[in-house]
Amino acid sequence: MHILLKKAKILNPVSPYHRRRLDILVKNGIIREIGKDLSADKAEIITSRNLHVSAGFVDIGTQICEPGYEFRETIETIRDAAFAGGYTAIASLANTDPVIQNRSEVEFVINRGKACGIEIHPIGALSQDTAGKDLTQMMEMHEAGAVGFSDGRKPIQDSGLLMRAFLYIKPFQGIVFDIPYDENIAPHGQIHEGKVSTRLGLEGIPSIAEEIMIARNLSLLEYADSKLHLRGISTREGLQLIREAQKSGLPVTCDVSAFHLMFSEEDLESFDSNLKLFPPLRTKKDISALVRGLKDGVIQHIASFHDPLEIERKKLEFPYADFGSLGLESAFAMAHTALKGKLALGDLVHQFTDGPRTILGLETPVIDAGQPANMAVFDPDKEWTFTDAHIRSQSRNAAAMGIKFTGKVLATITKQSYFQNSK
Amino acid sequence: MLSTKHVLGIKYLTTADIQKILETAQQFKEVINRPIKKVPSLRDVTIANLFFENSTRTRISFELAEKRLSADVVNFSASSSSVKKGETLLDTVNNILSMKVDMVVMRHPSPGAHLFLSNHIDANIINAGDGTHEHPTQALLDAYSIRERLGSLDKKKILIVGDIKHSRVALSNIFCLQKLGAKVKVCGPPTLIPKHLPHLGVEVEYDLKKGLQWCDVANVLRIQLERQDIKYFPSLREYAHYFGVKKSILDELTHQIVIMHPGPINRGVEISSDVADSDHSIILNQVENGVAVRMAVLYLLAGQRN
Repeated sequence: MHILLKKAKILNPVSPYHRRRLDILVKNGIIREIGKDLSADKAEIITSRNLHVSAGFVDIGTQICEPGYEFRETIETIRDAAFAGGYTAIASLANTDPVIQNRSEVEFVINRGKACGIEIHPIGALSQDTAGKDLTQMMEMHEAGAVGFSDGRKPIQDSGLLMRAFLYIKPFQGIVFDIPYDENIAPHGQIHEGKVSTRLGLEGIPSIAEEIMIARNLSLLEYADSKLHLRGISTREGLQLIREAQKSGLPVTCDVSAFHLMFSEEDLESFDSNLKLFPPLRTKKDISALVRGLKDGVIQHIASFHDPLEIERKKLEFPYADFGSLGLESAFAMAHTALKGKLALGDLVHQFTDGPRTILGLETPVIDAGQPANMAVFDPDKEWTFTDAHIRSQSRNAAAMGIKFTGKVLATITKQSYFQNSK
Repeated sequence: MLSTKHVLGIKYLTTADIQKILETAQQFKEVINRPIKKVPSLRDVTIANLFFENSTRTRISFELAEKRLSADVVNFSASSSSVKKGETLLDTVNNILSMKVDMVVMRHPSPGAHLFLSNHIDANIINAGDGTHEHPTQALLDAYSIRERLGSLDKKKILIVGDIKHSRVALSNIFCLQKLGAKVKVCGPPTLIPKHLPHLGVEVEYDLKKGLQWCDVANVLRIQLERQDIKYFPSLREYAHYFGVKKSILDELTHQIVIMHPGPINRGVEISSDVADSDHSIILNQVENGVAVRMAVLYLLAGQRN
């Protein structure tokens, strides 16, 4: 198949054509030519008023549901959701059934991804069955291709376990991924503790539930001299702790979800269970701090926090609904809309491309003639409203539903696949 | 007429709505004190009382209000229903509505359950308590009772004592009293007071005697042991000692205050018997006014159906 991108601005710092607006011709998954006024017979032509192209996006912490929860999502449907959002690679979580915690399960995920045409880099379980007690066989998983270790959506509570994990992965420069969150502060917490939780009578989750665990994780990291990536930072004070740790030279990175840049606790007045997210949506002050963190480089990745859930777990009274939302299809548009005028487009794209690849130790694909295609194609000016029709996942729990976005992913191109979003 | 189709909470009502309900309640209070207490206002209206949580007085109060307005009434309680068999709220309610029910009075353990329901069904919904969120008719009857005793709520000082954190009555009272011009303080152990309550314009007082000295009315809340799976205070003994309203404290005050309680009372814990039964107390007036206020709410909402 031949694809011709017309007048696309290339945002790919490793490319000789970085920041130039040119035509790109892709033939059978390989970039054949980059130049002005290219033409090709029988090529699928992609045009848009302000067409941009970057390396394919990468998401850290995507909840895959296969094996075990295929009624929520299969690898095929998560591939479609990823392509719809511009992603060509995801680093998946281990909370499947069985849990991804040994060589064969890691290989299964990688191979299923390959078979479906999407790069999956599994983050293996840190504790057996993600029960938070005993270490998994991390050396073997590392050999099989696991990019790191985490109990996924379960924050690590046991300090001793985390300390041993940090130590155990040192020989191969492994990395721990953790959502910093103390479960004992508000065991039945529903939303951020603040003005809105008080008005709504919903049990609040104070910011300190995150801050305490960031402080603990950083202390353990310093002690063990290992590597840590903190997922889903949502609080101003928490981010400040990470900033200080980075300044002191600790090898810690962090990400923020696109949801936490767009929504605040104030959006929960309607008890919309699609906005019941973990970590909880915080305040507008926290959003401002997160934006600052993106600008000064403390945050290196905007993650989708894609977490498919069946309708029976979401279309419920708020306290009964599960935490989580789909994210792959909307994360870029959501982040772009939330950050418009606050963060340069190149810096935003970095958060979806080079940022996560650096954390995972992956090389950024080069947009150059002769290279295999691995590209996200988007128009940052395109306005659209997210509807059910934009969901490619098998589930329907989208926090983005009904939101008007500026910036849309138009197509995703890899060596094997070409995906075009409907207009 | 009210500005809203449902009564989901005080925060969704305007001050004019509240005034209208209180004025209408006054007329119904006169009605229920007549020898013939029944009026035909809701003759063709079918009301389902859906109680997904235990209730005695609110349920009887609503049922009496409905019957005195000549509505047809069906009762449902979660303990004897298909909810136990795993049916969802939406399915349960839709099944009942298929039998042509016009209004739903619901108590539910989840905050926001009524708002959730109102997005999916057509009937008028009245919130009879949703978890730790709101209990609007209780706040309305409390406001009515204070007004009846003190003439007006404007600039009156109301102290709410007890478990504020787990109380829908406290939250609805705060919204309602503030809308009617009263000042509200809360008093209780800090573990039972939401940290961010001052955001709602409410002051916090930890010293019960100081709080009682400040107020015109003390609304004493029940300790909601059933909502506490964590220990928020060490013992009922210590609670009663520091936060129980006792006659000895009232005797020390320089002015007489009005004592309220939404019931049911834990005598000897949050309130002593000699206070509950004293002439300070308007606890039984609250119960009587509850019927009149609920009649007013039902009547005003039903009026919108035509």
